[in-house]
Order: sequence, then C-alpha cells, then structure tokens
Amino acid sequence: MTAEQVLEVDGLSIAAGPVPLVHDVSFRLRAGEALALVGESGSGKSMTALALLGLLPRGVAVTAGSVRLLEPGDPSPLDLVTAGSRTLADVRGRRVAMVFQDPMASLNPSITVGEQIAEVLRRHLGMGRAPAARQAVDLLGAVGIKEPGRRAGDHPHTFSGGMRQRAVIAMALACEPAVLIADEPTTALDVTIQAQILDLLVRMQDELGMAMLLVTHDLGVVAGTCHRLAVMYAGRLVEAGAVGEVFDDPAHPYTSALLAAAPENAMRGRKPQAILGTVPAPGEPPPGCAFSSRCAHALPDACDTAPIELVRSGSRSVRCARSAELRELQELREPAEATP
Amino acid sequence: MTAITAARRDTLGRRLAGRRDVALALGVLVVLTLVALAAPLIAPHDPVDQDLLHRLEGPSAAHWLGTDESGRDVLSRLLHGTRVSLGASLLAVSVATVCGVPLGLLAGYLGRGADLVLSRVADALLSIPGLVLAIAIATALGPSLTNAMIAVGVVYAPGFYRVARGATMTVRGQTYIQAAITTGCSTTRILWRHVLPNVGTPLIVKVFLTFGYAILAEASLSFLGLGVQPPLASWGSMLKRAVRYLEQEPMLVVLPGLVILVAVLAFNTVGDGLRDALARRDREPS
Amino acid sequence: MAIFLLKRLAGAVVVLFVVSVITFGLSLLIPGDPAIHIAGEHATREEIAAVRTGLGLDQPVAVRYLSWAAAAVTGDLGTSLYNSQPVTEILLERLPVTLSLAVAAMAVAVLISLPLGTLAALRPGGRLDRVISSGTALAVATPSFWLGLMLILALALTVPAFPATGFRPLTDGAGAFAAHLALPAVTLGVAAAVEQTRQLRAALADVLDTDYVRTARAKGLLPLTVLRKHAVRNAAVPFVTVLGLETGQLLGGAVVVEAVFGLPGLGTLAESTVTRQDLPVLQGIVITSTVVVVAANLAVDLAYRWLTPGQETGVAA
Repeated sequence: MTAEQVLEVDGLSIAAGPVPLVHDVSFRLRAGEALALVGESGSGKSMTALALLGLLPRGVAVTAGSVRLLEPGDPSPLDLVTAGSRTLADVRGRRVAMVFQDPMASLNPSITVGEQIAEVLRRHLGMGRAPAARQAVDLLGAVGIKEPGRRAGDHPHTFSGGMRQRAVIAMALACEPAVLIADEPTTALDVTIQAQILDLLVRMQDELGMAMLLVTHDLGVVAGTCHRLAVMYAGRLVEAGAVGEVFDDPAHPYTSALLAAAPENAMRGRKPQAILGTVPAPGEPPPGCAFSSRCAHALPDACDTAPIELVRSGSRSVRCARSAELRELQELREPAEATP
Repeated sequence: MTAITAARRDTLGRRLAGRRDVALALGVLVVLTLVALAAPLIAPHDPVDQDLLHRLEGPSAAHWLGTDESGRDVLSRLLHGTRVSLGASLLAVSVATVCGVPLGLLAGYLGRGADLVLSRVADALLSIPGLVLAIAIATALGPSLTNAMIAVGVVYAPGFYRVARGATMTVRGQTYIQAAITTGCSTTRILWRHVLPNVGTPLIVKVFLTFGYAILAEASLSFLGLGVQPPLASWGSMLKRAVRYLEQEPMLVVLPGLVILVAVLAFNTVGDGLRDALARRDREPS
Repeated sequence: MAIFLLKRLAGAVVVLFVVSVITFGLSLLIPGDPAIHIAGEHATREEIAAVRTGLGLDQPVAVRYLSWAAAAVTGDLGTSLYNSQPVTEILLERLPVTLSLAVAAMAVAVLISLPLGTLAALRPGGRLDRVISSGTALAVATPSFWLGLMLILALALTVPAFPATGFRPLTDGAGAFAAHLALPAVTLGVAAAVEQTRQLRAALADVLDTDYVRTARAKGLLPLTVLRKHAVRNAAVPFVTVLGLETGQLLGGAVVVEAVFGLPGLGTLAESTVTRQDLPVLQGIVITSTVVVVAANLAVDLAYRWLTPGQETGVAA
C-alpha cells in the first residue's frame, strides 16, 4: 500500500458532558482505501464518524485527540477538531463528504432532488445556477438513476429508498471529495438493494480514487467492500487489521463472537450464535476489559482489573490481555479439529 | 389504589413546588384568593365612598394608592375588585366546564352521530371570534356582569369539550373500560366512575389556563361596558373609567392593568407548570 | 387538488351553516317580547301586533330562520333597530377599517415572531430561549387594551407623529394611514405574536434536529443558508397554520383595540350596539367576522398544500 495518507485520526475521545462515549481512537485512511469501522449500536462508531466532520449532536463534544486532513504537498495538515466553523464548512462536502443511514430522512422533503445536488456544486465550485443544474443531472445519471433529466425536478418522496440513497451518494460525490464517510449506508434498505448500493460505492470509490470510511454493524457488508477493518467495543478500538486476515484469524474474542453471530455463517452450514449479555452502559466503564463480562475466555484478575493496552504487531493490533495465550490454545486445538 | 394516588400526588406536588416560578405563582394565587375572601376586612376604606374634595389625588398616608375621579380610595377598590374579577372568572370557568365536559364525555364515549353533531357545533363556535361571540350573547341576554361571564363561559366551552372528548376517546379503548361494559355497568356509571377520573388531569390544566383568559375577557368586556355596573368595580371597569383621566392621573390606568397582568401570569404559570409536571410523570414508568 | 378543494369548501359551508343557526338563535335569547321592545313601551296593542306580523314574529321559529337565512345568503342582513340603515351597508362601511387593522397587526406579529422564534430555536434551553419564553409569557398575560393605553401614554402623548386616536383611509395618503394605524397594529400584533413565536420556536427546533438539516450541514452549506433554505420553509407549515387560527383571535381583539384608539371599525360598531341592544347589527358582525375567519382558514389549507408537496402524490400520480 503506497498511496498517500489523506486522513489521520489520533487519540480521539468524545464525551456527552461527563459521560465518555469514545476513548482514544486512532486510525489512518489512504487514498483509494476503504476502512470498515465495525461495532454494535452503542459502540461509539457513529459518534466517531460524526466527530470527523464536526457534526456531533448538541451536548456531545470531542474531549481529546485530532483529526488531521492531509493534502499532497501541504506540509501543515488541517486539524478538523480545532478548525473554525467556516473552515469546517469549506471542507464538508468538498474534501470530506458523508452519506447517512436513512435516505428517507436525509433528503429535504420540500426541495427537488436536482436542486439538493446542485446547491453543493454552487457552494463549493462556484458554479452558476444553470451549469450546476446540468451537472446535477449528469451526477444522477452516473449513480444509476434512469431518466435523470426528468427525475432531477422531482421531490424526494417520489423516489424509492434505493434511489434516494443513490441521490444522496450523488450529492456526496458531487465535488469529488478525497474522503467519503458512509454511516450505515445500507442498513435502512431492502436486502436486494443493499448489494446494489454497496457496488455503487465501491465503483465510485475506484473511479475517484477516494478514501472511504464505512461505518457498519454488519460484517457481511465489510467482506466485498473494504480493505481494512477496525472493530469497536464500548467506545474503544479492540481489534484492527486487513479484512481477510481478521476474518480468517480473529485475535479478539469479541471479533470472533461477532463473526460467529453474523447471519452469513448460516450459509456455511453453521448456526449464527448470539453474543450473550449486553454492552456496558456508557459512563460506567469497568476497570479492565469492557468485554470481560460477556467473554467466554475472561479470567479474573487478568482481564477485569487494569486497563488493557492496544498491542500492535505488524499491520494488526488487538486489545486483549489473553490474546497471546488464546492464539496458542487455538493452534493446539486446530490440528485436532482437522482430523476427526 | 389510594396509596398509589397519594404517592403520585406527593411527587407531583414536590415537582411543582420545585420550580421556583411555579411556587411563586402559587403563592400569588393564594394571596389573591385570600384578598378576594377578606376584601371587606382588609380594605382601609369603603370602596364606594365618594369624597369629592379629594379627587384624583396621588398616594398619601390616608390613601396609599391615591383616589380616583370621585375621590374613592384606589387601594380599597382594587381589593374589592379582586373579589369581583375572580368571582366573575370563576363563574365563566364553571359555565365552560359544566357545558363542555359532560358533552365532551358523551361525544368521546358514544362516538358516531353524537360526536359528529357536537363536534360540528364546537367547530362552528370556535370559528366565531371569541370576543365577538361573547359580546353578542351578553348583549342578547342584557348587560350585566353575570350575563357577560355566562357568555364568556359559552365561548370557552368548546375548549373544555375538546379536552374531555379527546381524553375520553383515549380512555375508552382501554381494557378496563371494555371490562366494565361487559359486566353491565350503565353508561352514566362508567363515565362517572371510570372515565371522568382519567380525564381529570388534563382538565385541571385547562381550568387554570382558562381562568387566566377569563380574567382578560372580563377586563375586556368591562372595558366595553358589558361588565360590572357602577358603583361596584372590577379591575376592568376601573380601567374603563380611568381612561378619561389618562393624561391627568396615569396611575389610575397603570395599577389595575398591572394587577390583571400579575393575576393572569400566575394562573398561566401554574397551568403550564402543572402540564409540564404531568407530562413528565406520564413519560416515566409508574 | 380539485377534490381536496371541494372537501374543504364543503367543510366551510357546514361551519357557516351551524354558525348561522347559532347567530339566529341569539335573537331567541332576548328576554321578553321583541315586538314590544321594538314597538316601544307606550305602543298600543294594535301597533305591537302590526310589528309582530311585519317582522314575521308570529311565524314558527324554523320558518323565521329559513327566511332570515335566505335573505342573509343574498346579502340582506336586515336593518338596524337604531337608525333603520341596512345592516350590510353599515358593515361594508366598517369592514375596511377592521381588515386594515387586522392585516397590519398580522404583519407586526410576523415581524416580531419570525426573528424571536428563530433565535429561540437556535439553542433550545439556552439563555436567549429562556428570555424570549419569559417575554412571551408576560405578553400573553397583558390585556391588549391596557398595552394600547400604555403605548398612548408612552408615545402618543409625547411623540406627535403617533396620533392617539382616529383613522385615515388609505386614500388620504399612505403616511396618515400608517401613522394612525401604527399604535393599534402594534397593540394587537403583540398578542398575536406570542403564539406565533411559540409555534415557530417549537417547529424550527424540531426541523433543526432532523437528518436532512444534518445532511445540509454535511454538504458544507453555510449556517444561514441551512436555516433559510432547509429549515425555515419546513417549519413554516405549523407557523402558517397558527396564522390561520389566529384570525379569530385577531378580530376579537380588534374590538377592544378599536375602542381604545377610536377606530371606526366593526369593533367600535359592536361596542355601540351593546347599549342600543341592536341585535341585527350584532348578528351581522358575527356572520361577517366568521366568514373572514373561515376564508382565512381556507387560505391556510391551500398554503399548506403548497408547502408540503409530499402530500400531493395521491392526486398527482
């Protein structure tokens, strides 16, 4: 991977007043690369995504860390956490764009779809009204809307869910941003439409050479779309690495549990297994590993007393006190399984 | 059941008193009620006693708030006016409740034809400008404070009708009402014993808010000459008479207006506070 | 669209019918025999009987209602008991004054509520929001005629530009018209602004919380553009609804405000009928003001359809 880095997130922490939501999250994005940020609801993955563009809800704020936006040849990267509101507004939709979960809700019901795309072009590229409108039609065509010229003048309620998400993607890609953040882009859609939207995202990412951060709770979405994967649990990164490696050989028990719980397992003849217990409520983090209360491998003292560091080895990292031990156990057991 | 109700009231009361503005407003209402009841005892002068040698005088030791155009003591007239104004508003709110609530209960409970007809009448009444309707009814009945406040009550009745109807329709779908129907309870009994207690809370809020509006309506109608007849005075009729002396003695206009403002503000604040407290209670699991 | 319009029109007709019954019913409330009342206390029995047949008072109530309503539909609302002038003629003289006042007051109210409601919605629960909500609570508790008197006291008696009383029609020049209307319009407008401010604040705060406003911000649109283009228009629906509902309150309030400022509109007309017990004129005022209210609500319904294109699918497709 030689492409240049476009986004560096370092030690990002987010809190709602006194309640910590996200703790010390770091990751890098390179041009042309897709990173999946995976976790259950409440893991802090969406808050992390919103924080990158300064779109956190009222009462929630970044408490530490930086989000650096790099440009080739620019020696002083822009920190989006400390950037002023005007600077941030110039970056949003121009250099970093975002696609949200619910396409039904993320388009303004009283403005035509074409106009909602055209206004991004006018805002960032200084285009006139007529050229922006024409470009909006082209963009709608590029994301696979049939008869784009006619549909551009329609209001969102005349679009189906999948078509709306296509329109939202056209809106996000209008200015060919360097980074695209997609927050659960297919969760609200029918299964048949999900694959089409994911294909579209991957195709556009390839064409534009963008970096993409795909936020999802669904490991099935990750497989064909992303290069790397970062797993969050209770506001912390617990494992990161290349998608293939992590899927083949998960190092954190939580990642294993997530893979076992994925419905895709059913196709391989295994029954999906639910993860017992619930995510600890934000604000009362246990002193040690937050997953220990649900973990089949947790040992008293080793796991639940002191904070556990994220350990990096090569391209992979994991936050588990027993990861080395578990790996040995796994290697001992596997040959036995292979010879029934 | 009684224990639960008591516990609920307790927390409700504490929540209400916990808001400083509501506590203050409740205090104002208590004082106003006491003044209305004890006006003859605490007023320093007879409110109709004229003293033409001391007309339109400013505050003095004998007359703390001065005298009006006939030399009557302004403070005593304001104190007695409290009784007239609050009594008149109470009449209007009672008329509105007595007309609106039973019909609302019936419409909400029976639905269909009764609901259709009654709701059309309520819609029609609500689309006539309130004060115009009040003037028309009061004029037809003949000018007196009682007639004026009956008219105001009729104007506000559709509001009570709607609250009672809406709450009844919600309650009617609940299982325990259906159970009461199948056990053969009479409609009157079901309405009285099961439905009314449940529509009570939104109605109490409505009563407080309407009381505020009724005070304003009384003042408006008195100002137009439809209210209390001389020599008695309400806050509104004091204003009416004082207008002629606006330039000479502005305090005669300022004072009754301020008293009205404070009274209406107190009723509205308590009503809003009660509504917020009830909304919060309903949101929490009981 | 046509079906929608017809439905609304039918609803309006039903309301007006019920109102006409109520209005006619007012004449039945009058204690005593109206014939004696009209003929005078010293009239002979024959004179009273003549009045009774002349006015059709010997007919059954239903017949009297029908003939009254039939006349009313053609614009004949009877004659004044006080000076025998046709009621319609009196009303047409007065209506422009009241409508001018109501429209001006509505404009004042919107000028007050648009900025205040918007400011309050930007930070719900913030200091500005609390100050504005205290202000509206105070305004709603203020008797409007008293506010008018305070304005006269503070302005009209000190600043000659604002005459304390009277009315000049627009034909006398826009300056005189506006100067005479300014204080009454402010008096009446403040009361109407309260509910508008509250509604706008609530609606706008809701809209600012929606996903599509977040999308608009994520696109890099500037805060003012987001507010103007993406939020205000969608918050306008409940706001416009309030404008319609307030028409009645405004016309009612106009009665007292006209009395304070001596404007020769429907309000002062109503005031004068009180002492004269001139019921036909009062009935005319009730009917006329209700027609204005119903028309305003129809207009709001149309505006609502225009503001929410999403509702049109069923008809358009």
